Amino acid sequence: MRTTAHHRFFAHSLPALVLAFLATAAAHAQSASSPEATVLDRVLVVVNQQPILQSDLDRELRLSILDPNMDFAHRPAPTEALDRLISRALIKQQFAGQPPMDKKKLQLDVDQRMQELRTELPACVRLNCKTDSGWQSFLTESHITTSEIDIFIREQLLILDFIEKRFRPGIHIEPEQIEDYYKKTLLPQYSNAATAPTLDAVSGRIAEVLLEQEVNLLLEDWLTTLRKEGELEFLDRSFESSAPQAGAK
Amino acid sequence: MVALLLISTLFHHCTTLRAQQPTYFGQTVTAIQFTGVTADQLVPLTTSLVIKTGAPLLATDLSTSIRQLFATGLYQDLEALVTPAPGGVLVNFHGQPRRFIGRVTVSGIKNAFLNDQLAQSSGLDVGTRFTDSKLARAIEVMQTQLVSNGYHQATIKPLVTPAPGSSLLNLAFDIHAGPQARIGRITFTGDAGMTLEELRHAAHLRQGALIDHDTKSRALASLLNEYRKEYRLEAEIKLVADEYDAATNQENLSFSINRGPVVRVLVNGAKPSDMRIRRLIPVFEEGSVDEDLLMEGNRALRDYYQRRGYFNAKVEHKQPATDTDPVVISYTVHLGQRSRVAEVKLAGNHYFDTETLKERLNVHAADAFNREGIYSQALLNSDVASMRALYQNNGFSNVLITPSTTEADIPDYGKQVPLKVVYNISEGPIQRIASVTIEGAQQFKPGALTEMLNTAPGQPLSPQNLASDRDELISYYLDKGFAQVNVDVLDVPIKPDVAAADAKPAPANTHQITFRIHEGHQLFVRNIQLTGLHYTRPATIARAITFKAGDPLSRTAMATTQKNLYDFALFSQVEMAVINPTPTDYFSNTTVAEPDQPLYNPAFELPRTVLIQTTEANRWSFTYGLGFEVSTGTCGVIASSSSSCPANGRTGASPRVLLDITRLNFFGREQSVSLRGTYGLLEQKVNLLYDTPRFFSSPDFSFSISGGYANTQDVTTYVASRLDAGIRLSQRFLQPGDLLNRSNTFVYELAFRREKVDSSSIQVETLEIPLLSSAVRVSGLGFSWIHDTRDTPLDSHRGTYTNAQEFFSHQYFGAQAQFNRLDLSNSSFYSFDHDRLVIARNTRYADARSFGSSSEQLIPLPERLYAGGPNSHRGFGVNTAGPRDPFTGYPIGGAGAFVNSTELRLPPPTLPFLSNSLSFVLFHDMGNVFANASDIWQSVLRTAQPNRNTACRTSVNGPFTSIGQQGTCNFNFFNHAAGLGLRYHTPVGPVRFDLSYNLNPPVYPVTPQDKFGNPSGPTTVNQAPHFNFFFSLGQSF
Repeated sequence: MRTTAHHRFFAHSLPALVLAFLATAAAHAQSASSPEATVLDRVLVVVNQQPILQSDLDRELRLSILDPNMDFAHRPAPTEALDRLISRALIKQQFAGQPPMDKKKLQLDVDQRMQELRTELPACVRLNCKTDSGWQSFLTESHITTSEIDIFIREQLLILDFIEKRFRPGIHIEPEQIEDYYKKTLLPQYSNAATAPTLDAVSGRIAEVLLEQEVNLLLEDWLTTLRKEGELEFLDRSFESSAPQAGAK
Repeated sequence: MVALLLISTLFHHCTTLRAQQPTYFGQTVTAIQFTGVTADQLVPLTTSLVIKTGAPLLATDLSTSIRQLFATGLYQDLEALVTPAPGGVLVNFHGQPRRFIGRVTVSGIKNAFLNDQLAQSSGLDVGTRFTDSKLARAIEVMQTQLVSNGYHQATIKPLVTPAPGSSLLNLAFDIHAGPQARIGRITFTGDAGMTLEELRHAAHLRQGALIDHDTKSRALASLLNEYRKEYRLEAEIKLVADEYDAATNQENLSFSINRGPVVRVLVNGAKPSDMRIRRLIPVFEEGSVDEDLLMEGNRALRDYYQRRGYFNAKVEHKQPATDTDPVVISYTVHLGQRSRVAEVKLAGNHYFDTETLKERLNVHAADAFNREGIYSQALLNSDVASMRALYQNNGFSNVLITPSTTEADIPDYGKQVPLKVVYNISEGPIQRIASVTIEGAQQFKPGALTEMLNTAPGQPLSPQNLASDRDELISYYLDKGFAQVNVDVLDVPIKPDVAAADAKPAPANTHQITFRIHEGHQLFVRNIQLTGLHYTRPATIARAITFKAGDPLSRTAMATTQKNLYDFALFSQVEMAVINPTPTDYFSNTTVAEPDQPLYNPAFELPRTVLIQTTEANRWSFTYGLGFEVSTGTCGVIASSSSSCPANGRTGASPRVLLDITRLNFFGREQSVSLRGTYGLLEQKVNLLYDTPRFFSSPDFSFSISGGYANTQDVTTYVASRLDAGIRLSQRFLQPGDLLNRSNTFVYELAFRREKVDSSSIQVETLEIPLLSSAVRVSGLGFSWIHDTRDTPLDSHRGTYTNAQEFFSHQYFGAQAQFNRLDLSNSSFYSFDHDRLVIARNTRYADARSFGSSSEQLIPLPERLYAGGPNSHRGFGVNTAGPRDPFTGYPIGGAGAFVNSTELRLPPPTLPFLSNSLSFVLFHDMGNVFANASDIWQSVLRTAQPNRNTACRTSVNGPFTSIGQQGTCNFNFFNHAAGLGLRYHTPVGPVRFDLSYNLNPPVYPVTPQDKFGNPSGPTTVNQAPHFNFFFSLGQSF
């Protein structure tokens, strides 16, 4: 009995199964002969009419290896990287009207920075980037090119120069502020006050630190204003949840 | 189970296949496609993309091309898709097209003006990109505006509708306003110096009154005004809180008030009125006291007294102490001796003669109209600036003008000191242009541009010409679609030196002029989108559009098109906009070596779509009005005491109703049909008019057909009813190349009239009544020529106005009365003494000659020639000049008319209260109306009525002429009237009062008659009045 039922099952269903198999194979064969379109690049977000592309984000993620805090295993989240791109775009849109950086000085700074990368970047140190072969290995592993690094550094330096020219002249650090920082921030870091450096010795450095803090504060406010007053349009809604960050690199 | 395993493996196998992604970069691009936004919208950008067919696909090229395409502004989103194809890959740029704002309408509020205001303030500009954030922002703005108008509970529902066949979105906002808020509780802090009730009253903040947009600003202004009345010029009033109570729908307002001290202005050394002080010292108008305003008061007071002859007046003020109440500002005026400008001279002028320069001067010597002359420091400075500008614009860049005012050496001049004002002019060398160069012109030949310039080598250097030429170049480029053109003008003085032994030294005082053009991009029209037409035929308005696809995008052409469309009178609104007007000028590309160097954006060269958005006007319009009409009678003048005064001789008054129904856009064309009617007890009219302003689409021709009925009394002698119809064609010469210039107009007319004089109203001798009161048909051809070269029709100073009308009534057209009537009128205007005095003259000659059988030769009463009245011979009442009925004495018109009016229009004197609004006119009118045109010329030199003391004393029938039965009293002489007129000038023209004195009014007999035509009383001899008074609008001619 069971044999008869089993036989009837195969007798009735096998043709259907074969047909299904053939149909599926045919369908897949067709799709193999008419391949689907692949999205190679697209606009992710528009910042005051200027688009930021998927390729920009991919490059930013790849170039994040140049951040001393990153390595091959740890990379920033895409939303964080996109946020940095947005901030840099907003800043660069303000370049018009500002005096440009001296080209010779820029090239010298780029070369110096490149050298620092090859000698000091933790990920590079491990691969011995001082040597050409080590440098090639680093580039291959991180999927970036020397040209991309050059442009990245160049852009960073231009932005830093812009920030300096725009915000530094308006900031003045008072001696009281330096003294205050020395007493309340620096000294508590030394368990033995006798070993701490004198105020005179570190006042210059403290002034630099305070200046950078002031610049950062002004920059943050300014970037917040730029974001608020500008037009920011996320075409990929999944990135829209990224909170406005003022940090720019 | 085995089958299931088999299938899952298959899918797994298939999935594995799908998971392998090939590398596309480096492969050859076999084709490039555009979907979503199609290739035709992107032409010619499609050929200038970085990515190219046949080249390897590179990541940098792909991302740059995406940026190029996105920068067109046409994409909402954009992605690059790649598909394997034989020989390489197919690249498809796919993106949703952006939508742009089309029609924005707001409805729901009863106040139509507020609806329009909300639409305007929404910031949704037609043709610009639509985004959800813009919509949200617009709603926010409208909500704020509604709240400011008292609508706190308003709701706004937006409806977004795609316009079919376009990238436009129409936005309709339906507003439910809710109740308008009212004024609630008012509180204030500070020193207001008034009670709350007084404050409410002063600020017009009545409890419970509706709040609108102006309530709070009006309150603040009213309070400030209130304090200013008390001379508290430094009052500070602020609205510190404005709270809305939803439960009561009221706004509670809180003010902070500091009324400040009283400010008193004292003037010592002179006695200007309080009103004068308030006008001159700006602290009153500005509502504050500071040193700048006080100094300005010094200058104003000085100029005021200088204008009154105290040319050496000096004014100083004392700085007031600010911590006192009242604050006293004390001005001291040192008037000096009263002077008179005896003479104004110019010295040192060679290039311009004295007369040319004097025309520009405001400082004048004393004359009949200004007994002290006109002088003040401000006017002196203004004269120097004016002459300096004249010299500098004629090449004298280094001109120096120094005025000096001294006492003139004129003995026995009187009490006032005579002053001599001399403008000492040091012209300096004239600067000339050595060469003119145009740089930067790439789209046009510099030679063609140079031809349009006024600046040329050898000419004097004129900054005005340079600026004008610059504007001319910019306009030219803008008109050719170069929206971002800029032109710099460089003026380089040439230093005269010797470059080489054989080189000619450059001449001194010459300049090299360079016009440096930055052209920018040229934009073209891709296509024209016309929306909003429901009833209007597109063909009707097609000729109004002055540009087409492929033309340069010219703002001038767009403005002209808008004006043409408005001229049709078919639209209540015409909006012109460029869709997607401004993509980004440059775009940043992070893949290039110099990221701070932006790339040129070729999207700027994309042609644009021009949107013409029309809103058709209501096709039906209804006009209604209520008025009052008055007719002055003539009984006291004409009728003898023994006869009763007929209705048309009595003074009458009546209400009047007006109704006008007009249908525009007739058959979808620029045609209209109107039905107009007025009804009063004295006059009734109804008229039907069909009008087409552009006959056969030509702006030179307009055509109309009319017909109607009228019952009027234009002449006191009778009331006439008229049934008329007419066809009228007007021809103007507006197009360049026309035979005549645009000051000429021709009117061609075919007219038909059936006229009947009311037998009960007609005031002629009894036996004439049946003849003159029978209905008569008049029909024929008319032709008019108007030639108008006046500067302004309302108050002309120069030019001429000629009007020639010819009408030919003939039996061929069905006429029962056959006659030819010619009516010529010419006015001319001459001004002198710097346009202050105007001599105006008007001469009219009219001639009516009848022909045909005896019954056809009688010219009906309404068709005769008349004269007299405010716009004719002012020695007579309206239409009362000329022959009169031998028995009733009423005017019966004539077959010839000649009137000449001459006016001397005087400049307006400066009067108290009226300032310069009132002027005077002296006039002389002469002429008359005659029984025959041939009587005109023999009467020119005749100033006395020929048979005044004989035949004019009896009512005896004389000859029967084309104007009916005449008496033996002769009216063939020229009446002369002189008079004085007042003109009160208003923005819409002068209001006129004329008083005339007729030097030789006619006499005529009046004999009452019974119904059989027999005399029923004694004959009295009446005389037309000497004095006539007229009140009217506009000049007399």
